[in-house]
Amino acid sequence: MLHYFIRRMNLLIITFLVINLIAFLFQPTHDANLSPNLWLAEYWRFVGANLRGDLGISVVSGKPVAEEVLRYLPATLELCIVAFAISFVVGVPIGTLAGVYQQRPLGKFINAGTLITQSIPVFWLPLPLMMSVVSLQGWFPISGRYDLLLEIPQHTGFAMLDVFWLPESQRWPAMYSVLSHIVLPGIVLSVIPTTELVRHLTTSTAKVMEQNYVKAAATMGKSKLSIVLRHVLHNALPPILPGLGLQFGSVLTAGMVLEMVFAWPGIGRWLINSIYFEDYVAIQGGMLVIATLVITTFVVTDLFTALIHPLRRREVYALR
Amino acid sequence: MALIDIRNLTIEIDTPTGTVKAVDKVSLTLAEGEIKALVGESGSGKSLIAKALLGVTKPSWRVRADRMRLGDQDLLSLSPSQRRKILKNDIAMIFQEPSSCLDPSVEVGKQIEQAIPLSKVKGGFWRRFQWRKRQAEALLHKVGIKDHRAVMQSFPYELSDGLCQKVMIAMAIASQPKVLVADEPTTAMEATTANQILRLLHKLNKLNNTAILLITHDLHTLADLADTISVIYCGHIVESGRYDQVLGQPYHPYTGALLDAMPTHNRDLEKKAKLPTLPGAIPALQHLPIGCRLGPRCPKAQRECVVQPQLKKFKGHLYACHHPNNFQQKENG
Repeated sequence: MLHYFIRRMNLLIITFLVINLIAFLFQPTHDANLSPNLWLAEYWRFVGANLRGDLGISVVSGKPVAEEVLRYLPATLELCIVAFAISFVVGVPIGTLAGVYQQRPLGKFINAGTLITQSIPVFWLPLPLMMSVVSLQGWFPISGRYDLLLEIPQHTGFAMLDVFWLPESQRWPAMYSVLSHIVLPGIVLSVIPTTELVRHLTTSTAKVMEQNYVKAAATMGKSKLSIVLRHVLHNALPPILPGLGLQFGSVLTAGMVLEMVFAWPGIGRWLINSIYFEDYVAIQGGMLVIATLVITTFVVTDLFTALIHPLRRREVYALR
Repeated sequence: MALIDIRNLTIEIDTPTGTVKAVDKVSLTLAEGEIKALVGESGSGKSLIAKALLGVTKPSWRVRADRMRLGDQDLLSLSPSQRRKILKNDIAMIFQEPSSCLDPSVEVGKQIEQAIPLSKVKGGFWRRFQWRKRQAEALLHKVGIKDHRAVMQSFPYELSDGLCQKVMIAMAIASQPKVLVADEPTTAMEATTANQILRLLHKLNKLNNTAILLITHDLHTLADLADTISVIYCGHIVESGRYDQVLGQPYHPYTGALLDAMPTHNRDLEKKAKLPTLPGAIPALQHLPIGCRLGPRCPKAQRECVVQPQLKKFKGHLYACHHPNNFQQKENG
């Protein structure tokens, strides 16, 4: 496990350095005629500053970029986490069902449904939702993170946690407002990881169902339900987790697009505004933070998988 | 009374090329405490019989039988929950490739504990956890694993095939079944491990009076283990009898060929000579010959062999052949 940890940390560090290198090369102030030693020293200084959290000063707002990112990123992260939570709640049962009944009508139906859902552009999906259900019935709000009248203090940046700093009388109404605002963007954004999860889990489950130990479990008098819960899910879910960790990148990107549709005050809106204003420092800082976040998520999911799934660990030993 | 009584079991399988009769009117009985060996080439349908007996069939199979009973229970008319109950308590099965039959992501110890029925716990519910663990250790000792702690903490991929098979046996006997179906339990194991497993099966049979249905393609494995032997060819029982009858005086040419193909030390064979085998290969189930299914490969085939021979009985020794081996001199003498 330690070897695995070190290998993954290596991957993390090297990718981080490469990302920094790219950011460094595309700096508008970058001077290509520096001598190699000076160039390297500049690069290390750049990496060191980024590690300390010094991402430069935004030329538009005049504030440190790191501060701005910390202010907007949690809103996006909150959205992504909710999307992933929804995708697990919805995707795991559907994917397992589709895998167990892969050759039956149910499996084929789920498969077709997944394909259709997957091919819908994620920025289009909110429009019919908003037009039909929401604006006519007024079930859920369609813009912002919470009611404009509320003043939720920014401590963690995650509105769901920040409401606990409010006085008790306002806490639960505020929580209600936050939750009702996140429903629609959360559902729309969850479409991406859900379809991915269902697709991977279907193949993975179908593969596990063919294994000898599932057949052997049937001869021990276990019911189909208990076999699926105890043996199949246990072996089908962990191998697809690293793949889902990679999906975090595309969910984050889609989240940024959705932020424009839902007027969500997250990092996507901030980044696009920075692009409008040609605020290179902010763009660079935002890109660095997001890229680092994505690779860190991947490495963490991978380590988590190795921690809970012995077969993953075996693969590591076999590679060593 | 026989513990397992199967009469005229027929298994048909739907395949893209039509329905195939994989097992045709097979009758088997297994007495309490008996070890019965079912011998045949791969594809002869011996594993299908075991699966039909346990009721783990696929939707494309059609299983029919005049009678299929375990003790006083009719196995043909069971509801799924009744069948699960029987599988839990009365029948257990072990397989070939044992390391693939254990859940790869659960520690072996936990899997053994899960196999121990909670209904056998004595004392209050708070004792269950410890009790099961101790019971699992005892089971491992019973199957000849002394280092129970290391084995219980390891995952199946960390154990050898022989150890895995012992663990499978431990799980199988956890509920003290009346019948143990062993489907080629020693395939792909080296001789010493295979012998250990077979000795273990023998011990279980003697100590617990567990009846064992041993399915194998290798006459070696059952040489001194089985009480009775049934030889199966292309879904037909061709010969069946006590082990000394079948191995000592095989009537059916197929059994004779199986025995001849076994390497021995006391036969006069030229150096590097080929062991005698039957010509040809086991026919595909879609293209079975009419009459005796061994017909095209049989060295003694004659005109009568286009009519399917019925099982005949001679001194408790069943055979299905028009021109049995070792028979003429026996009748005269």
